[in-house]
Amino acid sequence: MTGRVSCLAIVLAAAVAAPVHAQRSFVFQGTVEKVNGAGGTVDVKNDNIPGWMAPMSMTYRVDVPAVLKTLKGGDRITATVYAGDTAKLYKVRIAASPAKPVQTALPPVSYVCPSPGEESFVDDRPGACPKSGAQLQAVRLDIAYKCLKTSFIRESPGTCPTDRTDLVPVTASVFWVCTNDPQREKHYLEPGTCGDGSRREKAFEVRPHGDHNPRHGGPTVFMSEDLYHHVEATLVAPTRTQPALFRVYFYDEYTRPLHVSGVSAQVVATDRYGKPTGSPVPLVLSRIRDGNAMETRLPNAAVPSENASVYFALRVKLKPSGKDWLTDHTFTSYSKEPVSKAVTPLANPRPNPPGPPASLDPLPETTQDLLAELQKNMESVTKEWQDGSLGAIWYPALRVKDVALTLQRNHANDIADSKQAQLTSAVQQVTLSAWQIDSAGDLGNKEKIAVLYDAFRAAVGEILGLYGATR
Amino acid sequence: MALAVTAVLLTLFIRTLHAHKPVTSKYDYNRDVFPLLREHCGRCHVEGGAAPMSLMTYKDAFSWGESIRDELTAGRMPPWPIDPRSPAVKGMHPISAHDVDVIVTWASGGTPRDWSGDIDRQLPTVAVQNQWKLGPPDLVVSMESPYILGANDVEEKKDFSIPSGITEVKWVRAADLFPETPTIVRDAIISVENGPTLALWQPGSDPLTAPSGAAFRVAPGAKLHLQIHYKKHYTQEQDTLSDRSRIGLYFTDPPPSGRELQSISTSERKGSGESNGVRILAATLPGGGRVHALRPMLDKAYGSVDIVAITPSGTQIPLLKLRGPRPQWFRRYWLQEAIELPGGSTIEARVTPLGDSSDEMKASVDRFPLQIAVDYVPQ
Repeated sequence: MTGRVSCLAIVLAAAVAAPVHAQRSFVFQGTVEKVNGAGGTVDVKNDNIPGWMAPMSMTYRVDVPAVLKTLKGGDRITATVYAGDTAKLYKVRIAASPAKPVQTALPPVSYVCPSPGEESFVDDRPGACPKSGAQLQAVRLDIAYKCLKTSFIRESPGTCPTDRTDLVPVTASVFWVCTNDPQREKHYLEPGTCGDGSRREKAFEVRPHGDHNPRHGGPTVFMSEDLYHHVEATLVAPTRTQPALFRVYFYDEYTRPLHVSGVSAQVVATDRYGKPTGSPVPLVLSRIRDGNAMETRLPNAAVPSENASVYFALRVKLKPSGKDWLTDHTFTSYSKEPVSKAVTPLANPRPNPPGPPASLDPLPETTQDLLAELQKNMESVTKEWQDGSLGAIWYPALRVKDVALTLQRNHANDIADSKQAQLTSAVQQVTLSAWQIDSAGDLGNKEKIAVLYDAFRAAVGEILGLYGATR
Repeated sequence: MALAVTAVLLTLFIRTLHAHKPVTSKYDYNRDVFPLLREHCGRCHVEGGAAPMSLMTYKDAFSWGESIRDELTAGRMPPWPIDPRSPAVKGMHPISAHDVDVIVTWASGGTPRDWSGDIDRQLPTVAVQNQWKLGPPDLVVSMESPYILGANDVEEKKDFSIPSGITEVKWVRAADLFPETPTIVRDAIISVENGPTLALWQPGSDPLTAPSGAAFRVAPGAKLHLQIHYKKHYTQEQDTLSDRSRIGLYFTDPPPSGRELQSISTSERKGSGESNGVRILAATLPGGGRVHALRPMLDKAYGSVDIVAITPSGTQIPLLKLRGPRPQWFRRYWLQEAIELPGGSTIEARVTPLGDSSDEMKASVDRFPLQIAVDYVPQ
């Protein structure tokens, strides 16, 4: 995982309707992280630009491509940017003295809107949300470093303690808490001392749009102009029997999976300038558990490499009557899925809705019915596996697991004492395998499922045999 | 589903984040998961314990949900790889399939805190247990000086030679380790130099005593050999830490037979590994004896280890069956019932590779060669 945060807002309407320089301008200051000469972009970590953008690392185009040849990593630059256009830097200049940004003890206080849909609004003074009118709330924003797959977050780069991947930069609000205080949920904007004499503890919370790290190995995450929808496109290598797969994942502003419904999309191969080189191909819903992806096979897709990038233009209609949302995607290699799914859990626990979720599909009660349920769902697992429906295999696999556990819990006495250890072993194998099949299915990991399936089937067969032997 | 979750959370303060996943688990932390984590994980995953993170509060545990799920479903945690079909061994701490399912369901289903709504319910405090678990030892021997694990060092294996101070023959029934800095002591091997292995120490494990009639003999003037595997938590990586662990020895009366616990180690059979990667190791008891314990020492993770005794007449007696053993969790498995074997009996182990092509399957630890040590009292 590159750990690079990248987000582009595509402002089609503004580009067509009015010249961008007619909009309000801002002074942009930041540090160059990487120059992408081939792609004509530059990665910059910007300082806080109140009213335009909080500190974050992003990829930008420039108004004069030749300026890229003068830039290198570590350069301090200034530029002009405009409201509504977060994709391009104008009049880029290397700062007169490449001094480090002014070090302050604490990040400056910014004011953010708490209203849903307006969380990305940031200002440098107190006030009200532009739409809801709610009072802005004071926060300190800074870059923190987080495990891509868990909530572990800290203030310096390093490696994730769980899977040893590089921590990824995210924009987070910084605050201090007193965990022993009765009001332990209260956030302080400064370090200090708690009521019991202990020091306040520093904590972080990821901000909306604060984590634009790709989740599925795609090169970038793009944001729509509504500031809510995000997409990540991946190009998965062909197999012996299947051509390359173009898949696009949809997220909300917290980079959480966004269920795809009523969305249409099509992709077309292009040259480096965005000119189509083929015919548009429609995407269909992907059969994955999160339900947040669309995909299509591309039999004629070129092989991407560092020396020969492959380009695609994706057009998405979020609603049938909506306008096209166009994003351009560049691949210099096939996308590789991370080991496990990303998680952005809570920094501060929230109250749960009252009551556990109801069981959607109760299990039978008698031994005979349970065994029939076991066989039926095992057959479903086999069918999904043979059909290659890896995204759908989880349901019958977990159902088999539930039946096996119920048999052991409620009907273990149907089996002789001498066979109890065998039953325990088989149910354990079914349980572990089912959960692993669930994970591997979401990732489309055929090789792993093949091994799990064999062990799973053998254990289910053992359970059936144990109960069959007592009849 | 994500939109529905967002709708539910409209009334929350901005400082409160939204859950990544919809909450689908019927199990919650306070009522269902905490008791299981305390039972199965609380020896190490506690503040100040050997594990890098505590799981003993909701605030500590919920963010590790995905990791908990991965470790449990892969069988890596808890590190007690006894197969349910194995003959019984002492000090077993297996986790049932049901308990695994409750924890994984919670970890996969949004990690809810408390379905009754009582999120501030006070749960019992779990504290690290750094103490002599068998009570005060008969003899305590300390490292001669503290060992310093510098700021640039994250992991080290160190060997220490420590005079025992023993001036007459002693019979040892158990040995234990008391780390001064438990957060960096990953494991230890306590043995007599040029003599028996007294203990294989792991954090969170209970030291067990040799059964009546079995003991290790320590000669006067013997030196103890202590090998400690030090490893810092990720939060300590830049710290300089020191440790001066202590060894505790528990004595017993001389065994009636006058014979001490001895050990033999298996050798790998010729052609072993050629068929499906299954490795066969064996050792013969020339004069027979009473087998009390087994110590599988692995060079990497395996799918299973099956150890049987085969008498000269061909009778097979199952001794130990491990599922998914990992090399870093080595142990001495004391048999619940010692097995009397005639001379010429063979101890045979079948070691089966992990079934997948994971990195874990391919990685070698290189700390020990693959072998099974058998602790027995000769006839």
